[in-house]
Amino acid sequence: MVSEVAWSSIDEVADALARQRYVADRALAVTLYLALRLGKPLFVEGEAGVGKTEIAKALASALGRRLIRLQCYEGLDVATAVYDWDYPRQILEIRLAESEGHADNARGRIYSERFLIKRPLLEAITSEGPPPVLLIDEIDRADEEFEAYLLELLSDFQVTVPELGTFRAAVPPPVVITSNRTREVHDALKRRCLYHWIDYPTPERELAILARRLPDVPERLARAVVAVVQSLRGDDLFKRPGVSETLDWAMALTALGTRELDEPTLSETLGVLLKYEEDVSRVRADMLPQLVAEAARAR
Amino acid sequence: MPADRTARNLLVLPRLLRRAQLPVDAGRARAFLAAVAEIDVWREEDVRAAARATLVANPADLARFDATFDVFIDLLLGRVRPVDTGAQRPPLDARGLVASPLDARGHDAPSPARREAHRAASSHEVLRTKDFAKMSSAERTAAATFLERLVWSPGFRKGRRRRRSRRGDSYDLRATLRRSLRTLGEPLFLQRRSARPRPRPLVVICDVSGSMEPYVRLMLHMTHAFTRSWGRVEVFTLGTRLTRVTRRLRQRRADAALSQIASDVRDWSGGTRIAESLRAFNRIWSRRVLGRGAIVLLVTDGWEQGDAVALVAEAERLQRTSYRLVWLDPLAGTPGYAAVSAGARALASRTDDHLAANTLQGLEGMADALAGGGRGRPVRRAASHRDRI
Repeated sequence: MVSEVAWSSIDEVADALARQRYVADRALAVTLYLALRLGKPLFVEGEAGVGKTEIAKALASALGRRLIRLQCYEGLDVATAVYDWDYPRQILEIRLAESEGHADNARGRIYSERFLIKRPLLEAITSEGPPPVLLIDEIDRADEEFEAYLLELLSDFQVTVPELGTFRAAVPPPVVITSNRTREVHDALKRRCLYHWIDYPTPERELAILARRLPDVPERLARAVVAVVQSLRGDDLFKRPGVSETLDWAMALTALGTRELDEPTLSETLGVLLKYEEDVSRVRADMLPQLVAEAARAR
Repeated sequence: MPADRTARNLLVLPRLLRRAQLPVDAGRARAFLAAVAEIDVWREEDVRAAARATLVANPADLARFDATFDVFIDLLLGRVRPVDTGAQRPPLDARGLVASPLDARGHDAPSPARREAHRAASSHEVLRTKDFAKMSSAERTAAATFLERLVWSPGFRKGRRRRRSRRGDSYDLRATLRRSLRTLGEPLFLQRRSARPRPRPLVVICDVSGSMEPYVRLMLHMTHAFTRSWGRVEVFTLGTRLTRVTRRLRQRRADAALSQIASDVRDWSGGTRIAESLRAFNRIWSRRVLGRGAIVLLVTDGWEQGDAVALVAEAERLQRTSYRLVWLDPLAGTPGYAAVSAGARALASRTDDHLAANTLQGLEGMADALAGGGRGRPVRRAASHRDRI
């Protein structure tokens, strides 16, 4: 099954993403290109805040398509993920049928597409025109049962509503699935997908990301920010800062009008980078001078 | 699909990966070929990315994949002689290099002893209260059999998914409507739904240091029984380092599983650094295995060689991130025992339960305690009430 492809080479993919201010490395560009060419879902794993969800957003705007997002959570079921019936209107319809004297015909009347409420998955499959990009976010939060349901959906791109029949996507939509690894996703699902592990970026790439996303941050400051973040990632923290924290911090520093990174500023804004009290107090207690020195060296 | 010869060459990679013990099946290999057909085969970097995307599905395998891919690409481009295939073997592990106490114990119980064991099992009333450390080899085997047969239930919590039930706390509109069609559209019979109970994930962290020696084997038998009768069970051993042994314990045969673990775990019967091992657990594993209200069984005697202050901090974090932190302590059952060592006091103040684990009776008590709990909010009792057991 080959989905509609807008790009004919890997470089085009990378360029298109870059125009959406998403800096992808070569491996990601290749994987994404293949996912589109082969019509397979892209399964993205990585630490929090490395830009997993952003891939889908950038892809959707690069393709000029709508993004349909399904945020997973425990207890997610067919009624919230795929479709539901509009019960109040169905009941009214029965009344109407009754008053018209067709009460025995009610069943046929209420189970029609008019009363079907489409949820993200069905919506992605039945949408008119060029297929939207489907983002299934944080699949690890959903239950195993839901994964099993996805298996069927992702291999045939069809949904069966028992009372109504089967909907099938004319053109399968590009699908991006993300996982934070709070539990292991079943292998059966992974093997239907192309797998990509996003690591923390190298200093050069992180600098490029900063320049793309926040062009207003002066380069000197950007370098200092990246140096500090990279150094923190090398440390034994409970939760290491992701790229989104880097961006937040750079924004925070710019908002504060910081030109030079010094110990007080670093200490005051540490909460933007680190989200656990023990990490914050550890860094505050014995890493500030070293971090500031590294920031100074980076300029 | 690439031409025949190219395909044959490409298929060497899945083979090499299998030899490096990566789970690559025919379906993945096919996906790999299909992917390569879409790209420029002469760009090594792209071929690597395509292979990664199709042949690997686990970040833990990425390093081995990259090493194997290097070998593959060298072979393909004739940078090394094809006969030299020794390089892609995974590095030798400790198997065979470490003396295995489990092996020794497992093998010194030949069939006469087993018969003896059955006799001993039938009189298991005596056995129930006997300290594991004082048991004879036959009695141990009996105790192991007993533990393997126990049906464990570490407790259920309320799930989020709902299903139909007669006395549910919410309504199933879909079913109600369908039912109402039979009564001319009048919803006379309300159909209900209720939350389905879900087994809580269980995490066992078992101390395998020297001081735990008399207990470890039986504790692992117990854990093996957990693994088979309970849904999600993760098992780690703790000594001077933390080792994940979940996969080993999934095999059906307990003896084989235990001897493999004994040879895998490098710090078997060595020293104890509980704080450091717990720290490793908190950093690397807690987010992945403690989701959904997990119960943690920490099996240790609390003999800590490391820093007791650090132990308090790590135990506290572990307690905060788990639904219930149960400390199974072989020493707790011995008469006149009190948690006096720094490590034991640290653990006693930062665990939800401190239960005896030196007799079968103690373990049964634990099983009951676990089965009863599981619903509602975590129990965080005041430290002063803790050492009563």
